[in-house]
Order: sequence, then structure tokens, then C-alpha cells
Amino acid sequence: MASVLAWIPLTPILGGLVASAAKRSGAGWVGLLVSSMTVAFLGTLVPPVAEGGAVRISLEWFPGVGVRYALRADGLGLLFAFLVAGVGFLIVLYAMAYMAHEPRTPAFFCFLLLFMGAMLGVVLAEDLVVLYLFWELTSLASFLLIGFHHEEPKARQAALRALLVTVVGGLALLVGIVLLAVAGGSSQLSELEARADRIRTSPLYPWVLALVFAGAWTKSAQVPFHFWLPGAMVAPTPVSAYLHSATMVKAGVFLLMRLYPVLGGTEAWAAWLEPVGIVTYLFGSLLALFQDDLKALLAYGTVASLGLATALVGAGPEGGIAAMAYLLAHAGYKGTLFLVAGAVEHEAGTRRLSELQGLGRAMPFTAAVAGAAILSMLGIPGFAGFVAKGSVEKVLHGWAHEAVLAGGVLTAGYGLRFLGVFWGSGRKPRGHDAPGFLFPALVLAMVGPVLGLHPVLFEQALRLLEPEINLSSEPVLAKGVIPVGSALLGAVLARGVAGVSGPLALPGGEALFDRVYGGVLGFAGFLTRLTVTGRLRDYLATSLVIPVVAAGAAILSQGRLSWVPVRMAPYEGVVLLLGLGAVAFTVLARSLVAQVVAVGAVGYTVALLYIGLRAPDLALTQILVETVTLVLFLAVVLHLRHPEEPDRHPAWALDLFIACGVGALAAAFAALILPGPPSRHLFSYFVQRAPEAGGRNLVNLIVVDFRGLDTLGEITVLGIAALGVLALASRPGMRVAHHLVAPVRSLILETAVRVASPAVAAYALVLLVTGHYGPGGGFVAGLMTAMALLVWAVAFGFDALPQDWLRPLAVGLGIAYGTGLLGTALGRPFLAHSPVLLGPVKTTTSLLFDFGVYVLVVGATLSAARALILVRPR
Amino acid sequence: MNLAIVPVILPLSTGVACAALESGRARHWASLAGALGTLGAAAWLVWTVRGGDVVVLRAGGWPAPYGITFAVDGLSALMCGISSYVAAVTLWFGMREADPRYHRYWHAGWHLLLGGMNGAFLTGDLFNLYVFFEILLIASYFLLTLGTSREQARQAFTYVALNLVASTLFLVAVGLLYAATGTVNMADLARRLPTASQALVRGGVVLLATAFGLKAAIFPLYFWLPHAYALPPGSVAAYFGGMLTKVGVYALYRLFTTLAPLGGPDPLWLAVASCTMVFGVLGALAQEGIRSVLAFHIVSQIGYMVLGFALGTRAGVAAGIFYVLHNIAAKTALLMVSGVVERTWGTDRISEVSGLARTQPVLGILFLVPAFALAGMPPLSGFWGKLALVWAGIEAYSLRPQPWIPIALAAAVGVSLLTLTSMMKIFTGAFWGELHRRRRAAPELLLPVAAMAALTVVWGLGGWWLWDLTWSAAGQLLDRGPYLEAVLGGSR
Amino acid sequence: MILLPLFVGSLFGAGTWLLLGRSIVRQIIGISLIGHGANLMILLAGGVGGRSAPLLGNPPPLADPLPQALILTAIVIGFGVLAFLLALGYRMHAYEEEDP
Repeated sequence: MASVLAWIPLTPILGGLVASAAKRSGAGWVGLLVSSMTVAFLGTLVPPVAEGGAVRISLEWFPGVGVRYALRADGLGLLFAFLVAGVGFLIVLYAMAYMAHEPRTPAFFCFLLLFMGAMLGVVLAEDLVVLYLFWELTSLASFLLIGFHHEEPKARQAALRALLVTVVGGLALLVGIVLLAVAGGSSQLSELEARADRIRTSPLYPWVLALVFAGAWTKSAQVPFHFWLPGAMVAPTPVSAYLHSATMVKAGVFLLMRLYPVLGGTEAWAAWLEPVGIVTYLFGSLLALFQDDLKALLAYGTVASLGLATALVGAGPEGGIAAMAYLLAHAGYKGTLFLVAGAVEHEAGTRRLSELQGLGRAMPFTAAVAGAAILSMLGIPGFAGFVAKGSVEKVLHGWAHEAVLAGGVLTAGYGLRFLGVFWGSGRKPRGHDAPGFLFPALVLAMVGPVLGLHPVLFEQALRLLEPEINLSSEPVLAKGVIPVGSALLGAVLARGVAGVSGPLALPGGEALFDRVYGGVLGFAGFLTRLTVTGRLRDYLATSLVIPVVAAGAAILSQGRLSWVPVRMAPYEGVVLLLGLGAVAFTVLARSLVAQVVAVGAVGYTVALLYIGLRAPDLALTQILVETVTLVLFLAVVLHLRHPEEPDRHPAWALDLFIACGVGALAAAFAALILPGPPSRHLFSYFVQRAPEAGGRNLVNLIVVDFRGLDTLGEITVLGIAALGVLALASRPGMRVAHHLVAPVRSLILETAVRVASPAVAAYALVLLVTGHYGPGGGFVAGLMTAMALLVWAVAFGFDALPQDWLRPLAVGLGIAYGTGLLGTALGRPFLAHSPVLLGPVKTTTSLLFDFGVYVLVVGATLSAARALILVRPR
Repeated sequence: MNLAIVPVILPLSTGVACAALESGRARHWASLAGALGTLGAAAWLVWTVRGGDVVVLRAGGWPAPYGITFAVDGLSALMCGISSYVAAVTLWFGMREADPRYHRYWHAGWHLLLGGMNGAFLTGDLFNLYVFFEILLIASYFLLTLGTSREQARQAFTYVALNLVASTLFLVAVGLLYAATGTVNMADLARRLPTASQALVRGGVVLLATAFGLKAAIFPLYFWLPHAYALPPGSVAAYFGGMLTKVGVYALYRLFTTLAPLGGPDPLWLAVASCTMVFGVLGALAQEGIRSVLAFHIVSQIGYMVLGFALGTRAGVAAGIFYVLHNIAAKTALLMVSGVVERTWGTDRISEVSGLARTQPVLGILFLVPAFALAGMPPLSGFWGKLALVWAGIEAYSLRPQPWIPIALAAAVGVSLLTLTSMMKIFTGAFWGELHRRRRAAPELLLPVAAMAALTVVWGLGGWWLWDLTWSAAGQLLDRGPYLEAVLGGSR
Repeated sequence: MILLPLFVGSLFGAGTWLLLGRSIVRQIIGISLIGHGANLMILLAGGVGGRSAPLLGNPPPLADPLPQALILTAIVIGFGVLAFLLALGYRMHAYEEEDP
């Protein structure tokens, strides 16, 4: 039993997926099958519910946010579910005829069934988050269905508008549900119902109420959120009949009924719902009266009806029952009228009242069906509408009662206007009764007289809701006067209005909606142009100002800072002064070449500084790197044919300010860190373990052993950089500049190079091997070798060297990675070195690693150098 | 233990191999094998740490904090897993798109970038993080400049220059933190930072936050992103847009949970989150091309991720991580769709295409599903992420009533509406409407998109198992005891 | 001693100044300067003043080898990135030349 319940919302959804894959003709049949299955499932749930109980199921779904897949079939839910599934069946039947020429029926039925499942989920949900989930799904389905004929701009617009309005409401509902769950401690309805008193007196209650109302009113198109509904009439008629009349728009009212045990019964509840509902009822009826389009007329009529239902829910528990009765009757007649409108449009080719008349002669049966529906709508005795109106009037008091009477006259007015299309003399228009349309409409219309003539049946249905219901038989004659009288007055109105040309264009929320939408877009554009300027300078400035300010504040907030005086040798002082001079020169020099040379000088002074600060490996590396960098810089700069742009931005003062800020912050940090770290535990460890690692040069040991992974990464970066240079150079439009490939013809140079290069290369190898014991190592060795090779190329031409340096690049990386994996092969961690005996020399695999570094550096440097120096644009 | 290095060394080696191999076929096979192997290793890592363990690899055999340690906890493993998946799927997607002249570089770059990202996720050493950042950065520069036009080169330069600034800030921060504590190992830093010189510590944290924030494109450092992602080919944009910014987000999470915990809702970061969400989505609404819209959405969605750790609670962090993972899936899928549109119809400007769903309904679905997921519509993954964030926010507010919390939550809800608006603007403009040009996108382009979009559905309907993982990961991040114990173990 | 922080500050300041300019090559020069500054900053983090080079066997106190090793890595990485940047910058100029 319970498991059947769990499947009820899912069956149509799955059916929809099946339908989407079905053939054109088959999709409708899937729909029929699925909806009848659902009705059958629902039928099995009736016995326990009829006895006053409810069928529940609760499965764990998302414990992390406290959401369970919990459903409940009680009277309210079951009645609505039958409505959804039953009307759904008829709609599918109708649609099979209506969409007979439509190529995309699988998609249509897929969306329709998706909607059906989602709507069932809404009415059967026990967990409020699950309810919200299905609620939004109905919005999505509605979007897809309204925009079904999306080649038409109106359809797209209407769909988007409907979606946004209902999603706004949906989000409000979500926040409301979250707050409700906070106030009540759970998102399960039954638990909330038990704690209703606490909730109603909680400070969050007004917020929850407001948000839930927002959700309900947007969905049920109450004023002022009503404007999306008439626009939604661009959807195919089955959709209008199903979603926008019989089911989805009722979801808002349903929600209010569902939450009544939790939120209802307070003053605020009635104080808001009744007025909004009544105003909507009157407003909608008035607007309906003046419409020219059949469906728009019905749409506004629906808005009105929903308003009345809302007001009823505001009136308390009897109001809820009256509302249910009213909604059931409404589904019968309104649905029928929509189907009739669709049939009329299909047969006569138009929906405009002003163009239609005398259809009664062409489509007599359709006219009869419509007549029956209208009679129910008017509340004429013998029809369901009369019974429903009876219970309505019992519930409403005071001004609401008068308003309903007035509304009744208006309703009669527009109802008779609708019926008016079948009247009239003149030529017999084209069209005929189509069985495909007529049959479902007939069935729906039958609801009216059947329930009307047998109120007992009506009671039976409503018993599900409230076991002790008593729709006592009304004195027909006495009560019957009112609707008949209203009908007569309405007829007068209808006649009168028909003379008024054109539909009444009352301002709706549409204009406001569009204005807001446009405003948001405009603001968005403005803001974006302001912040995303496209200029690097602005980005750099922002990126630098923020850390400067924030870090500066961080320092200053620490109060007193101690500055430790540090002794320095005069050597360092001199170097620093030289450095400062070089920096100044870099900034102030006019020509690009001079600036490049100056920055090289800065690099060299930094190297000298490294010596002073007792970092020999560092100094060696720095000197080499600086030299190669200088060469690369010059190679690029000297071949720029066009002079670069004027240097400074007009607002250079800001740049100066920022630069000084950055410089000051950097200086402050430098001063703060001079004393050094408080703990030297890493240092001591390295000193301790150096012999185990097999060397004396601590820096080198760290680089290849202790922190070998960093080096692995660094050479990968080098490798990728070289690849990048190669890729940039190997594009179309670049060619090898042959005049550079050719050697510099100079005998002196050649002799010198013949001696120097091999010597340097040999020395480099020595440095490689002795890296553990003195300054040196793979990188330094590699760079020296690369430089030696480059000098050779300058003297003898680049053709004297191999062309492909990509291979050594890859091989070098391979060796380094491989050395790392060597350790894993031996069951040790990655990059763990093992001792190795090379003849009499005891060393470790770190030498192999260093060798990989060496090979890579040579490969990378030469690849990049070749590319940068040789390749030129055409 | 050595398993932890595979997701790094395998892609790096594959990348090198792809660069060096001459035969295109061999390269294809190597690339495929590498991508699948990495994915498998990453998945295994996720599986191994799901119960709250921390996998530790001591590179070189030296114990922490003296050597470099890979410390793989829940967050690291999850990020590594998703990045390997994204790399594989986008590689599959882009294979046909790659310019044959750059074939070797393209494949090499793809794997090298993955290796760098995985290394960043898995390492437990701050300087090593810098090195891996540099690897992934230069790989990204590399991919960005392959086959570029003039405008692309200019944008690439902007991107490179900004990242260099960020890298420098990172480097200086490492120096500051070392001067304050004497170590660069993350676990060791976590222990020592509270008692170190706060001037240096605060300065270091600020610089790190700026560097990571620039990478993550938070407000106000997000300006570079829309330009950088607008021009490269679809697969590159999908790869970058899906993953690259998330490395910055990961680093921010690591910074503000493991290293320097916020200890509760932080008003500054809540404000940053709110502004990022709002400015990002407003930017998106102002754009005309699908790719540009999506690029701004990346920024906006980052705001949600920042909100996660800005709340400072376990629920917040877990929700944030969930959101990161969901977002990667949705975003990558959407960017791939925009790539398909460009490739098949030649443009991605909404005003110039229409009726795309007519010729190819599947494409419409492949856009709609991740778009709804991105906007947080149920029952897809984004909804649970958003809901979890809202719940976490409310819980945090009851702990510490910061005024920024409700502002941030309101922004989160409001922005999701605007996100939906933006996505539907694209959908109704480009996918609906009159049939413009009848073309069909190749199915082999659509399958990878489906592979990515499917995640949003899987995590939507069955998201609880992902939530368990993120909840466990969040616990590890905030309660650092087991992490410190695992990494530092017996060493002092 | 005041000169050392001053030098570091000047490297950063001058580098930033050039970076905020308009010419691409000058921007690269600025990046280079800032890089030197950052490296120096890290070296200083290990402390300065009267020591010997970190080789076992030298008279204590030894200079801190860790920052030196870190900077070595940073220098190499910076070198790689700089070479790439130069190639990119050159490429951009080449575009200018193709159609100014």
C-alpha cells in the first residue's frame, strides 16, 4: 500500500521519459496508459483514507539536510490527486486529437506527464522540501509547455515571464519553508502540525506567513501576481485547460489548505487571505467580462475563481471544505470550457469573440456541452456549481458575502458572453463537432449535472476530506433565485459589453515586470563596464592596492614592532648601494636597451649580495641565470622593429603612489623578518641527517634529496616553458632567420670557442658530480653547458648543433621522474634515494636525479634559445 | 602510500611523453591511457579516504616537517578526483577540436596541467604548493597561447601578468610565514601559527588570501576572468572554467580551515562572498555571448563557494565543498555546450543563433539540465548545494548573529533567481525560436557533455553519498587533530 | 642595517612602477625586478648577519640553507616563466608588425 503511494508521483514522470522516446502516434497512448494506472493506484488508497486515516510513506533521502522522501495520502491530497490524474487522462485524450498534426508530440506528452507527476508530488508531499521540489518542477514543466510553440516570440516571452514569476514565488516559498522548519524543528508536516501552537506564536511566524503567501499567490495568479496567467494562454489549449485551469494554478490554494493546520486560524491568516481573494475575484471577473479572446476570458475567469477559493481558505476549516467543493465544481466546468474553446479555435479558426457567432448551428453538440458547463458555472440548481455555491455562501459573511453576490453577476456576464458565440443568425459558419474534442469535454461537463443532481455523490467525495460533512440539501427554489437572477443581470451586462469595441486594456503587472527586468539589465551593464575595464593596468593596480592596504593594516595593528639591528659588512653596504643605483637606472633610463642592461646589472648585484649573505650556490645560479636572461632579453629587444608605445599612462601619479606603497610595504616586511625564524628545527634536522644523505652541501642536499619534489616541479616548469616557447615559435608566419643561423665569421672567435666551450662543458660536468660537496649541482651544470653550446653556435652557426632539443628535454624529465619511481619500485616512498656504488665512489641515486635535471636544463634552454633567437616573422 | 603520487606523476609523465612522441597514434594511446590511469588512481584515493583517513606520502622518505609530505584528506582526494574526471572528459571533447599542427603540444599541455592541479590538491607543504601552482599556471599559459590570434595573445598576456603578481605575493607570503615559524609544512604551520609573531602571520595570511583570491576570481579580483575565458577554444575554456579557478578556491579553503581557521562566521569573507555572487551575476546579465555569460557566472558561483568557508562551521564547509563539486560539473558541461554551438554554428552570440533545440533536441537538454542545476533548481545537484548552504547559514546565525549572514543568504537566494533568468535568457534566445541554420553537432561532441551533465543528475537524485563525503571532509578540515597526527606523527 | 630593507623595497617599488606602465617589455622588466625582490625577501627570512655558507664543516653558525634552497627553485621557475613571457611579448609585437 505504502509503496504504491511512493510510486504515484514517479509513474507519470517515468512515463514521460518513455513517451519522449516513443513514436509520434504512440506517445499519446503512453499518456493514457500512465494516467489510468495512476488513477488505479489512487483508487487502491481510497479505502483506508475513507475511514478517516491516511496512507503514509517516509524514506530516507538526504539526511544531511534533513530531507526525507515522505508522502502522505489523506483526504485533501487524495481528492486533489484524483483531480490531477483524472482530468489528466481526459486531457491526454483531448490532446491526442488536438495535436494530431503536431510533429513533436513525444516531447509534448513527455512534458505533460512530467507535469502530472510533479503535481501529484505536490499534493501528496509530506516533507515540505519535497513539496517545494515538486512545486518547482511544475513551474519547469509549465515553462516547457507554455513555450512549446517556441518559434513564436510571444510564446517564448510568456514562458519566460511565467517561469520567473513562479520561481520568484517558489524561492519565497523555499525561504518560508526553511524558516518554518526552523520554527517547528522539522520539515515533516506531521511534526509541524503537532507543534502548530509553538509555530503560530513564534517570532518567525509573520515572515513565514508572508513568504508562504507570496509563493501561493504567485502560483495561483492572485492580484498583483496575476499577470502571467493570461499571457500563458499562448500555450496549446490542452495545456491551458490542464495546467492553467484545473490543476497547477490550484496548487497555491492547495498549499494554503495543506498548511492550514500549521499556520492557519490566526487573525493574520484571515486578515490577509480574505481581502486579497475577494479583490482578485472581483477584479478577475471584471477583466474577464471585457476580453475578446475566448481563452483570455477564461483565464481571467480562472484568476477570479482562484481568488474566491483563496478567500474561502482564509475563512477557516469550513471554508476549506467549501473551497474544495468549489474547486471540484470549477474543474468540471472550467476545464470543459477550455476544451470547448480549443475545439472552436480548431474548427472555426479563431478565438476572437468579435469574430465568432452562430456556431451553435455548426457545432450543436459542442454548444450543448458548453451550455451545461456554463449552467454549472452560474450555479443554476441541478448542477454542481449550485451545490458548491451553497456551501460558499454559508461560509462567507459580511462584505465578503455581498462581494460574492456581485461577482456572481459578473461571472454570469462573462459566462454568457462565452456562450454567445454559439448564438446568432447569419450564415452558417464552417466547422463541425469533432468527436475527439467532444468526448473529453462531455465527460468533464457531466461532472456538473451528475454531482449537481446527486449531491450525495458530492458529499461522498468530500467525505474523504472531512468525514462529517453535510452538504444539506438547499431549498432549491429559494436558493435558486439568486443564481437565476444573477444570470439575467449578467445577460444584460453581456449584451452591453458586446457593444463596447475592443478588449479593455487594464494595466497589468506586465509593464511593471518588463520595466523591472529592463532596469536590472541596464544596471548590470553599467556596473560591469565600471569594474571590468579591460585594461591590465587597472587590474594590476587593484591587485596591488588591496594587499598593500590590508597587509599594511595588519602590521600597524600589531602595535609596537621591534627592529633588530643587524650587523653587516662594508662589502654588503657597497653592493647594496650599487644595487640601488642599478635600480634607479632601470627606472630612469630612456632607451629600452639601456633598461635591459640595467636590469641585468641589478641581477648581478643581487648575485653579489647573495655571496655576501653566504649563499654560494645561489650566487652561482643567479649569475648564470642572469646572463642567459640578459641574452634572451637582448635577442628580443634588439629585433623589435617598431618602437614601443609612449610609456606612461596620463594618470602616472597614481602609479607612483601605488609603487611607493608597495615598496614601503616590502621594505617594512623585509625589516620585520630580519631577525629570522624563532625555531630552527628544520635546520638542525638537515645538519643531523646530511651524512645519511651523503653530502656536505646542505643546500644541494635539500634541493635533490630532502625537498627533491620541489626540484622535480621546478624542472617540469622549465620544461613546459620551453615547450611554450617552441609552440609560440612554430606557428604560421614564422620562419627561421637564416642570417642568424649562419655563423659569425671570425677566426679568433672560432679558436677561442674551440677551447673555451669544451672546457666549460667539462667543468660543468665536474660541478654536477661534486654538487653534494660544494656549490654546484645539476641546474648550474646544465646551464653552463647550455651556454657553452650557445657560444659554439654563435661561432660556428646554429646548424653546427643538433636541431632537435625537445628530445633531451623529454629525456631529462624522464630520468628525473624515473629516479623518483625507482624508489617506489623498491617499496620505498617516491623520490627516496638509495645508496649507489660507482666503483670506489659511494654516492646515492640523487646523482642520477641531478643528471636528469642537467639533461633537462640543456634541452630546455637550447630549445627556447633557438626558438627565441632564430625564429622571426615573415 | 605511494598511491598518492600517481595522480601527479602519471599525468606529468604522460604529458612529457605526448610532447616527445612522434607518432600521432602513439600519442593518442598514451594520452588515453594516462587520462584513464589518473582517473582510476584518483578514484581509488577518494575511496581510501572516505572514512576520514588521511593518506600520507613522505617524498624522499623524510618525515614531515623536514621533507615534503603529501597529505591527502577528504577535500584533497575529492578535488583530485573531480579534476581527473574533468580533464579526461574535456580531453575527449577537445580531441577533435585541437589544431592538428599543435597536436603534440595540446595533449602535453592537457596532462601537464592536470599533474600540476593534482599536485596542488594533494600536497601538504606550502612551498610545494607554490611549485605546483607554478606548474599548473605555466601549463595554462601554454594552453592559452596555442594557436592564438592577436587578441587572444593580448588577453593571455594580461592573464599571465596578473598571475605573476599573484605568484610573487604567494612567494613573499611563504617567506613571511617561514620567518615567523621556521617551517613551511602545512601541518607544522597549523601548529605554530597561533604563537608566532602576529604581524608577520597576518601579513602572510593577507598576501596568501590575495594570491589565492586572484586565482579564484573573488570580488574584487575577478576582472581578468571574463576576458581570459572568452576567447580560447571550447575545450580549453571548459577545462579552465571548470577547474582552474577551483584550485584557488581549494587553496582558500585550505588556508582558512587547516592553516588559519576562521573559527566561525567571518564578516569580511561573508561580505566578499555576497559581493562576488552579486557582481558576477550582474555581469552575466549584461553579456551577449553564451561564453561570456558563462564566464561571469563562474565568478558568481565562486561567491557561493566562498560563503561555505566564510560561515566557518562544519555544515558550512561541507555545503561549500559540495557546491564546489556540483558547480564544476555543471559549469564544465555548460561551457562544453557553448563550445559545441560555436563549433557547429560558428558563433555563440545569442542574437545570432536561434532554434538550436529544433535541429538537435539533445543539445537543448544538455544545456537545460546543467543550466537548471547551476540555478539551483530541484531535483538537481545545485538545489541540494544551495539548500545546504542556507541551512548552514541559519545554523551559523544562531551560533553567532552576524548581520552579514542574512545578507549573504539573501544574496544567495536572489542570485540564484538571476542566474536562472540569465540561463533562460540564453535558452529561450538561442535554443528556442525560429530555426536559423540547420546543422547538427557531431555525436562524439555530445557524449562528453552528457558525461559531465550526468553528474548533476546523479548528485541531484542521489546526492546523499556525495554529501557524506563532503561532511566527512569538512570534519577533517575543522578538527585538525587527526590530520596533524597523521602528517606529523611521531616527529616533534 | 637600513640599506637592506631599502633595497628590497626599491626593487618592489621600481618593479611595480614599470609594471604599471604601458610598454610590454618594460612590464616584463618590472616583473623581473619584483622577482628579485621576492627572492631576496625569502633569503632574508632565514636571518642575516655574520655566518658562513651552509656547508658541513664550515665554522658555525651556518646560514640557513632552507631559504636558499627555496630561492633556487624560485629562481629557476622565474627564469622559465620569464623566457616564456619574452616569447609571448615578442609574439605580440610580431602581430603588430604583421598588421600594425
